[in-house]
Amino acid sequence: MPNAISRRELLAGLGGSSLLIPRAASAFIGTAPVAPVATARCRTYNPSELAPVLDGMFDKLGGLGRLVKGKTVAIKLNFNGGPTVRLGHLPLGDTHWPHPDLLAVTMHLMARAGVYRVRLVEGAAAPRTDPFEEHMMDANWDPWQFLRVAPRVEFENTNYTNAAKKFTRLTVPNGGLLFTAYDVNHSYADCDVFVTIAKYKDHPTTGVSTVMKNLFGLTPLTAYGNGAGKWEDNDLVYGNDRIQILHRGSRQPAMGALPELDPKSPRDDGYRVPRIIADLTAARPVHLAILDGVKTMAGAQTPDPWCTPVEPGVLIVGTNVVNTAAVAVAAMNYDPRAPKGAVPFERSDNKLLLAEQLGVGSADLSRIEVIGPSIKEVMFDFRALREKRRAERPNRLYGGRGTIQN
Amino acid sequence: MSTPASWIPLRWPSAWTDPALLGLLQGAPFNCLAMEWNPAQAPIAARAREAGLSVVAMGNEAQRSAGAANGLDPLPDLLLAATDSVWPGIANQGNATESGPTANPWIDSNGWFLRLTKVRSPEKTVWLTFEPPGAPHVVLLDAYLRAVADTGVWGGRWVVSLDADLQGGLARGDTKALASWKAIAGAVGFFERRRVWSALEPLGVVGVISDFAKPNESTSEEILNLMGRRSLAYRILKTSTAATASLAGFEALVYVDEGAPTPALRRKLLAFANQGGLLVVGTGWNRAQGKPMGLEHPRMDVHRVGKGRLAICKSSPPDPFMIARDVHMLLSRTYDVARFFNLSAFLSYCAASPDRTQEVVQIVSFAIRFANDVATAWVPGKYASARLWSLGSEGPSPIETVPENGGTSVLLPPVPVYAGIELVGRPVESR
Repeated sequence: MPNAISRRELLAGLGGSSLLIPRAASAFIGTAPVAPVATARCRTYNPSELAPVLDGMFDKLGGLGRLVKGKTVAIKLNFNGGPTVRLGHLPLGDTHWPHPDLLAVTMHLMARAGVYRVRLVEGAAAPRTDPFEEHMMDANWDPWQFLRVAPRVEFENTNYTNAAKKFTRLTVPNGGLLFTAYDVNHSYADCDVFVTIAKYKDHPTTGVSTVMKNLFGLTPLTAYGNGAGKWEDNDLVYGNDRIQILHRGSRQPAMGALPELDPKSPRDDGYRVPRIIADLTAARPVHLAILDGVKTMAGAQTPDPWCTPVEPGVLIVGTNVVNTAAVAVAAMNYDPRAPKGAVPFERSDNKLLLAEQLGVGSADLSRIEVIGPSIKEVMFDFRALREKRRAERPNRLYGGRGTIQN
Repeated sequence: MSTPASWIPLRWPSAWTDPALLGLLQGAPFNCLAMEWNPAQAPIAARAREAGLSVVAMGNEAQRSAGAANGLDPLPDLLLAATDSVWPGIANQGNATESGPTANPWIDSNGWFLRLTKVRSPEKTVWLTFEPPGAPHVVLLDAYLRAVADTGVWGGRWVVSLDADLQGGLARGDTKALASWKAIAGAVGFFERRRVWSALEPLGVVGVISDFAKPNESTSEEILNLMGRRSLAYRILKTSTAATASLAGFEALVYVDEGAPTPALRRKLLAFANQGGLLVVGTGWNRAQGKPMGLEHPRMDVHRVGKGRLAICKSSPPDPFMIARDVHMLLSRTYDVARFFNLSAFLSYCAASPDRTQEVVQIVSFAIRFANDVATAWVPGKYASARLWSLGSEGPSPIETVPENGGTSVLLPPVPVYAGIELVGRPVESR
């Protein structure tokens, strides 16, 4: 697998202009942090298999106690799409949401390691007065599963200010790539440990969706969503995506959130979305990234008729989100350092390289220690499925949504 | 000659004056012709009666009088013909599809009306007299089937009415029109054979109490409509009998009529809340009991009352859309009698025999987009098996079930119009 990238390729991957990279951040290119990433085989979500596997992975990374004992932990879930949309008959946890049993086992292990509080957080496309637990139940999840396994479990729909009454501003170190700061629910700041848990999937805009892309959902719909600013009492969110403001930049954020740095920058979501994700990984450092690759789907991040359910039987865990994402992308048989235009980043800049530029973490596999089975051993060939879909539907980027844009 | 309760009506098109067209009824379930009298149809009426069909006068007062004068039966008292029923489907206003604040398309359905009528006039058979939309709308076969299903699921009868295109096609003997006619007749026959289902009791832990009369009529009726839209299963209680009705099995009661309840009803409702129920009342309740729970709810003041809760609406009349939503959320989806996946614009109806040995979940889909996706229905109990009934089918087909979240997921094929799920075996409740 090619890990090297020339300077020319790197610049191409970053939109073709070194001026797009903040000067202060460029110093991190060769020195972005690295931390070990643990890999493991896990064929089912049966807690009797999951718990020892996950426990062993945490141990290899130094132990959970070191990270969570006595701490408040916020776990960012990855609830893409509506709770009642399934790929075929499959429950959401088997395809595009992290599996509830994986979440419960993680929380159980955190409880055993002495966690003080666990807050489950997500920007759920549900009205403010709908408890977040109800959103889970709409997907046929059982919130009691989580309440039973850890102390002081809280649920927070981060699309709203809730008890804090106002959003918290997360500033991007060194100025940011698209925004200098993002306004988010207080839970993302009021925690000692921040965890991202997500599946690996293809993504129509940014190529792949893993533990990094999950952070795009930090941005509250009430400030950054299509309906932002259109409901006076902010009790109803319609338009459960961020197409207008974040993808296309057709208007600026609402609720007092800062406007973007350069309104004249490209309105192309292949330019914008990876930069926002990179910004967010810098603004809200991740302490633990858990990649659910036991079961997932190939073809998109939310179900569409061209997606394929797959069972790679893999878990990947790391303490650096970019390192973890790099291993995950490589385990999909994609090149984590591929430039824009190359698989899987056909129409977007490489968000991993952008985050690397911001000094969040390295996407260089030669620098990342993999503990457990090698990437080759846990690899599942998303690339082959992608090529098969493309052969069947040549006018489509993935065989599904996402028309090729030149 | 059948009795009025078993009449299966077809609105005979006024343009059909050729008695030979009665041949269409061979093999079809219709046994009653509903006519807007005109003299040209006298031979039709005569031939129909000879064939053992009932012929009733419909239309305006003059048409009904003329029909009666020419030997047509008047509509019997046992039949309730609802003239203000709606053509079921996703509501359209001009070129724009209407939608609610959450961007779900608005559905026109007669389901709530049929359920309310059954409570108000249980002895009557309800006929719905809605007609297909006229030109320039093209009425597809699925729209007809949806109209039959939206009436049949809730135990009513649609006075089947054909649009001008289908009338013309059938009169010409057009093959495609005949196929549509056969499918429509098959759907009507399907619900007639399953009429035992309409005798089952609706499942649901939410009770809606109202007099369903002015000034409360529009609010209370719309609450029924919108609770159904979000698959919040409800049962209807009339104000006049609620004070003495059994409240067994209810977890929430909604009483938002204007004006204060009678002392007896107030005592009954408060006792329900004290024992752990959720009681949602309008401003007419006019007395705050219990202790505020500290919820910052934009539309309700919520108080702890005994073991339960009293939620008092802040505005009068309350917004029915918000009432349906707020009741669902205050109560919790924990009490859902079913959940559905990959269905967008749809209505469902869950009913069971009192001993739960017979249980049916019926779905009417109004969606045009995504209608090819397979769907899933989840029910909280554990059942031995499930059977799928489809429109026009003579019998059920087995269907796969899998355990999920303590209950049972029924793995359905695409539901373009209708699915009837018969759950087999008394459920073992998961909650």
